[in-house]
Amino acid sequence: MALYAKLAVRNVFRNRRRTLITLAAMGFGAAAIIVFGGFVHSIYFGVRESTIRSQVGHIQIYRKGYSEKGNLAPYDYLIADYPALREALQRLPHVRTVTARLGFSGLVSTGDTTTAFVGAGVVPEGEMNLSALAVIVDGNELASRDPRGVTLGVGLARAFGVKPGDDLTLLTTTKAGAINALAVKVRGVWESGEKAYDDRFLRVGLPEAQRVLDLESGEVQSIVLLLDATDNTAAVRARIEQLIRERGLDLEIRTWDDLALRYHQVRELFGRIFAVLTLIVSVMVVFGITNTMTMAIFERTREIGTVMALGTRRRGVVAMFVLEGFVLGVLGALAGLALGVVLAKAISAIGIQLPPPPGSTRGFTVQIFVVPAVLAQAAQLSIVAATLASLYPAWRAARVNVVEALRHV
Amino acid sequence: MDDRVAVEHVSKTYRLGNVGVTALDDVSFSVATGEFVAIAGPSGSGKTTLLNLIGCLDTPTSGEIRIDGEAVSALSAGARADLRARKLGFVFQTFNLIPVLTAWENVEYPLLIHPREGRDRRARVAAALEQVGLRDRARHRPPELSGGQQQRVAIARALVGEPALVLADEPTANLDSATGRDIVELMRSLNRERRVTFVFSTHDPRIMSVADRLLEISDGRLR
Repeated sequence: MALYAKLAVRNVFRNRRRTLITLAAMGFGAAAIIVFGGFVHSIYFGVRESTIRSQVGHIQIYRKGYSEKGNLAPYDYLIADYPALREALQRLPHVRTVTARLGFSGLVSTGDTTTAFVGAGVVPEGEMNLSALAVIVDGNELASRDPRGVTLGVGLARAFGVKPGDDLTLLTTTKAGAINALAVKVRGVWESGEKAYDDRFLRVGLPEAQRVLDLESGEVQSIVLLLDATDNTAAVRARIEQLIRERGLDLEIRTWDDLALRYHQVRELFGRIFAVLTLIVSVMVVFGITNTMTMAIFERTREIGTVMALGTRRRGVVAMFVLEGFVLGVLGALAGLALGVVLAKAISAIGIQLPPPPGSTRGFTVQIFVVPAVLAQAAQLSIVAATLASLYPAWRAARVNVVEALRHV
Repeated sequence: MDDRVAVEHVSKTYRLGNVGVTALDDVSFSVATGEFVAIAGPSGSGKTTLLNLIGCLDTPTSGEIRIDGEAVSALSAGARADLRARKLGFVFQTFNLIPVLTAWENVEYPLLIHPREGRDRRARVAAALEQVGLRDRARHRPPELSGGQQQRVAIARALVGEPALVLADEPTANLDSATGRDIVELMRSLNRERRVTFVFSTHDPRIMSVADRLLEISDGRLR
């Protein structure tokens, strides 16, 4: 085998120009995978973090049963003792922010026009940390000292034509089912970048929401936790589960992974596009290698005859050429890694601006992550495709008639 | 039996389209250990076909060939490859060294494809190169060697496995006459000193004259 490996390496460098062209094609293919894969991962990351930070947080805690039945009877599944829980959760490692929400919905009216809204009663200070990506574009954030304030999504504000300082009336039903109204003043307008959210959502202070729904002051629907890093989600979840067991609490936990539906849709979509690209590159590599190996074998027909005359068996000839394909694959992978990483860094450094993606209102700057898993995948693809692609030419080489091969010029 | 090679009523017919072409027609002879046998005849007379058959590169249409008493025509392709590695050495008209390997590595090749235990490979490669007078060219690759030197390397490669028989198909045809004579003298001296059995084809009368025995072939038959 050492002999065949030596022959493979030397033969690869025999026709330098052809080898370089083949390696260039393979390198570009692998680099395309690395760059596109890195881009896709940066999108995953962006969507994940924006979803977490503008909406769902890392971890949400509800009264047990809320996820399944809370939609129909939201006020039957309330957490009763938020202040005590907040105390305990705040002490857990990696937890940055603990805040509570109370969802409700109803109609919002200026007096002239009325439309449906989805609202959240929030703790202004807590929510400010959590909505890092929902930026105020007009007016101010909610504040505890301004209990009547409301902030609207930019789409909702635009539809109404309201601006900070304007009065609105919120109509909703209390826990018991009675109609109740709340007079509020627009304090600010925010934009999360996600159109569905910006068009329909508004926020008021938690005490106001509790009041209009006729709830106790400790009652909330969900507790939302923001951590120092997304990677710590599982660890913190385990700690909370332990806490729930120890105290015998009637609670359930959801993490961002369960809640960020759009994140999974984006992954699904880009995952498929990436698979198609991978397939295209594989086909490219296979054709390139098949062509190179077929030419190499044709040129070396007499050598094949010679080594077979000297007693090399057919499988030895196969090994010789498959190893050559493997060596080409490894070199192509190395070229691709170098080129891909350089391109990824360069494109990120240049900072290309892209228009808003579907369902979003904000454009973004192209970032290409250098992802070890993608690098490994690109390298593996080059090597495996090159090795497999050389199998057929190698098999053909080993089938030559020795006498005819020796006569070949 | 002392015969290295026994060729028994061997015929070889090729098909060219619908026509059968007889390249060899009922050829029989034997070669004893240590013999230096030339096969002579014009182009297309069947010399190369005969050497290919003895060299187990091809199989006869009828008849049998024995190498050291072993019948070869029924062997599988793999078994014939092993037999070639074990018992035969080849010298080609066009030298046929592997261009990406050095002289040393070319000579070493047969020992690597069919490893033999308990023998010092390096010593044998060195000895083979010494015998052909190219010890100092071991690190050179074929393109850096003259035709005569390349053919010497090829002879060292043929000898290194201590074969029962060395087959040489027109070994001097691509060399000038002086170099050709050197090559033949080298083969002759290896034959005399080391009792290596040689069977070679040629149409050069000066080379025929040094052979122990001359087998003349024309139109596929021995004369």
